Amino acid sequence: MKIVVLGINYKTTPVGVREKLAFSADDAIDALRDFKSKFPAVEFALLSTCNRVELYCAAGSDDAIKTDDLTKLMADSRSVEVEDFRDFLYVRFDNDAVTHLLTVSSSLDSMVVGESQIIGQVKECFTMACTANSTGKILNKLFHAAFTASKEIYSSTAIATRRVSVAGVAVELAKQLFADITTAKILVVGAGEMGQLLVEHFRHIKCNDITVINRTTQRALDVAKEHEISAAKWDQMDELLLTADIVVASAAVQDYLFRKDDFKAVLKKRRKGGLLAIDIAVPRNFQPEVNDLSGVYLYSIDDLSEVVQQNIKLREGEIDRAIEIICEKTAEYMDWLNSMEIGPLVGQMKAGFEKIRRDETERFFVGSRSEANCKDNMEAMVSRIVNKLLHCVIRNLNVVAREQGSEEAARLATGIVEQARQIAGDGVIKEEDEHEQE
Amino acid sequence: MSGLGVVEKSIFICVVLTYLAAGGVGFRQLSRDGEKYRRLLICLIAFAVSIESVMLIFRAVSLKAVPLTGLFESMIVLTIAFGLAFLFLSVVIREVLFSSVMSWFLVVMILLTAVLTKPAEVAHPVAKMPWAIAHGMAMALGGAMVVFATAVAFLYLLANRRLKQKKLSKVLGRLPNFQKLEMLNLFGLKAGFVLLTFGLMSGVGMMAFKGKMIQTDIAQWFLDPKIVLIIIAWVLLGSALFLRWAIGLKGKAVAYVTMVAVFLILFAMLGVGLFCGTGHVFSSLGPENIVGVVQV
Repeated sequence: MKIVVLGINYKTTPVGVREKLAFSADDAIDALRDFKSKFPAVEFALLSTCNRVELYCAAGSDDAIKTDDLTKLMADSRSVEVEDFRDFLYVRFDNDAVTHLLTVSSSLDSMVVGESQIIGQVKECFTMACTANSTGKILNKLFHAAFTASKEIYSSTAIATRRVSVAGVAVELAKQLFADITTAKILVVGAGEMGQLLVEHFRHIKCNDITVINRTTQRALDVAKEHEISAAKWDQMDELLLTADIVVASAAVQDYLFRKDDFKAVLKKRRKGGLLAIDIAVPRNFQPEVNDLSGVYLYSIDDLSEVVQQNIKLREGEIDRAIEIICEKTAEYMDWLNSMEIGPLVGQMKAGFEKIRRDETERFFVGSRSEANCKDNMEAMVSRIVNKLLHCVIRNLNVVAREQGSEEAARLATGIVEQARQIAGDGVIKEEDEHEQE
Repeated sequence: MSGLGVVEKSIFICVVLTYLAAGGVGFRQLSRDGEKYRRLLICLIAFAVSIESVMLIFRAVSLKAVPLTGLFESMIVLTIAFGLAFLFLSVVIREVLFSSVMSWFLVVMILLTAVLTKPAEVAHPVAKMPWAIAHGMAMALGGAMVVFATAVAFLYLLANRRLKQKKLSKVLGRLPNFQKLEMLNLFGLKAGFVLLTFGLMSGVGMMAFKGKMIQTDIAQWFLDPKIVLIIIAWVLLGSALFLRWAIGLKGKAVAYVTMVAVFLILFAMLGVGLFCGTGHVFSSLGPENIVGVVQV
């Protein structure tokens, strides 16, 4: 039995190489069909995202998969030379390969730990493999183990609970302040890049009342058109401040645009509740003392970045717990895999034990004993004893498989099967009985 | 608690222990930040509220009247109303600090009940009249609403402070939405004001129609410290609501007014009996003694 993963990711490979090996959904399905037709005994799945391209393979025997063949297969499917990416390629086997998929699907191997996109991509990869009919028992179980591990990690750790981008934290803050963020009036001062990024985030959470103002009105109009929001003239600023709930300041100015005293005068005319001011401009647009005014909550880019750093640390602090879950799930999966490997031998062992039980029972219930009332009960009892003993043997075989490898377990199981056959076949037990009677 | 029967005493001890456990869970969930603690806390409070209601039925049977005559019973009604308000809101407000603060308020209220109040022994004849029942019910529920508004006001001020200090990690996901807190505070104030208004009106009605029965007149009644304090609290709440409507008073100012109002109400309910003396008693004492207290 062998599971192999080979691939490249953003840690090992420059984007120029990654893009050569990237697969679209349709290409991936075609490639998987092609792989399967060339290696019918092998199971395949292909994970292709902007950060990684990985080929997962599994087969019943070690001989069925050779790393070089797989590398060539990948290169041929993308019409690139193996030499182009050989140096960046990583290959993991069995236990490591399982751990790798579980790590990837739980986002621990992502650029941003805790991002939620990757689990969707892994699910999509599995769906594509199912569509191409290129998976089997081993990969199906492996991917489900990955989904389970990911779900447990996301739900039982704080790995994905906090935002790790400035814009994300700003949106989270706005949500904390306003009961219905979708109806909040947002005023964007300046048409800078960061301001536009925030506009995108607010649009994403269905905020529709967004107005952008800029010293150059045309620029404001262009930005408004691009993001489907409103634009206003620079001299309407005070008027807009009276009704705004959120002010995003990203104007390129050398001095403060909003000073405490001026802002106080504006606030006096306001009848609305709290005002969230997000100052993401450098140099800053708001005088820091504006935060002292009642009802104003001023956050600069440094304040938000500090939260981002705290959240990143918090997520990183959860990695150990996540790794524990991954190790646990990997062990569970490997147990299943090993038991699957010795499965046929266990079947033979059961048959051997069963034959011994049957022969001995028949040998006992001969003559007048065959009419005994307790025959059925005794047979049932003997059957239960044999099953319990067999269960002990199987459990120990699983322990051996886990600790010393499936080959050792298989060797042990084969030995037990042989002995059971001998006992059942040459009547060793009968001879022993007779010896005891003498 | 000395006036309680064995069964009532056992139930009350169980109530106090359950609330203390809830308070402990409230502390625990802040350090652990887990959903299971929140659920446990809700279960504990629901259990405590349920057995408090059972105890109230026992009190009604032993008094043979609606159990609103004594301060002890009124406080029990107040904690039940507060607990129910929390249980309903916990469905929509899942932040840990909300449930923790609410559980601590309940602990304080039940401890005040246990330490400072005495169960009613004999219900005054007037306590069985519809006027008195309506008055007692409205005042207890009004008090509960103002205490609830105070708990929310406390959370509002805490959130405001942390937002101003930019301690976002202690706000995001831990405290309820800021505007919702303001709205809940206002709701508590409005409900409290309406119920207190109804309570005061029914109290005046009781005085006007049953004044002879309690051997006093309206002038004497309005000089009673308990009533004076309640009226001041009522005026304060009314003023806050009016100023909100007229000049848009909001946020911190409303939160502080709520806290002052709740202090006045709690002092009127618990402190006046201890420090000043009041004729506003419908239990333990016979009617002739009530007049005596008023004269004090």
